[in-house]
Amino acid sequence: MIQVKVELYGAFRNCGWTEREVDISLSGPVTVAELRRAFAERLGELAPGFSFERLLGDSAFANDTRLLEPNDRIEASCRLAILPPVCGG
Amino acid sequence: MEQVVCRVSEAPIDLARFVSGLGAPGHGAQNLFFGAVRETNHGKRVLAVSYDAFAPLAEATLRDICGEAAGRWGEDLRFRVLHRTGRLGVGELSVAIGVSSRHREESYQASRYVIEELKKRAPIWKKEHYEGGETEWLKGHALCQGHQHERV
Repeated sequence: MIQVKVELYGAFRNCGWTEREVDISLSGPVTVAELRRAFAERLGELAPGFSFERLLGDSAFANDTRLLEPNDRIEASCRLAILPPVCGG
Repeated sequence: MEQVVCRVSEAPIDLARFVSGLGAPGHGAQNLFFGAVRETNHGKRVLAVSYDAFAPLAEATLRDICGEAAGRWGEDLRFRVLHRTGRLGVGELSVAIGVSSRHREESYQASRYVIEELKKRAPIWKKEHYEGGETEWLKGHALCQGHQHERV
């Protein structure tokens, strides 16, 4: 079993889920593309009134050092972040 | 002193500390850019802006950007980049960029490069607070533009 904690940033903080992260349980290693589907399913359960499909489509998964590509593999429990479009400055 | 210092922090920007240590004996130019919270945006009166950031990757991205600028305008350039998080009132500084170089042209160019790339690439977000209590997360640049992922 792999546990992935996905930290929420930017507009995802308005989703209605009171925590700043979403826990996802996976039966084994997955690609980031598969994680994206699992995240969408879990967020839909936790924040049923939040319309996030378009936002998620424009968002990237990342770890502390780099953006993750859809084919990158998640092999072990870890902490990641979901990054909506950015606008610092 | 370190050649590149990039920080994302809730702490207010201390201008004296920011400038000290930026220059180098062989440098004759120090370019400073500050971004501040503006009182209007798209015709709406802004009372404050809340900044959110994924700090570890934001700092790594800022270091990458400074490294790219050094590659283009001089490996001896020195950089300081600070970005605030948290709620800031109108007029407060949200970002400070300092570039030191031998001559002014390089520091002007490098500073402009850093702020433009920061806006497109650093995982930082802002939510504006308007008169009347309305708030809005501002739209920005998608970091996944080159990724081919399915819409779910």
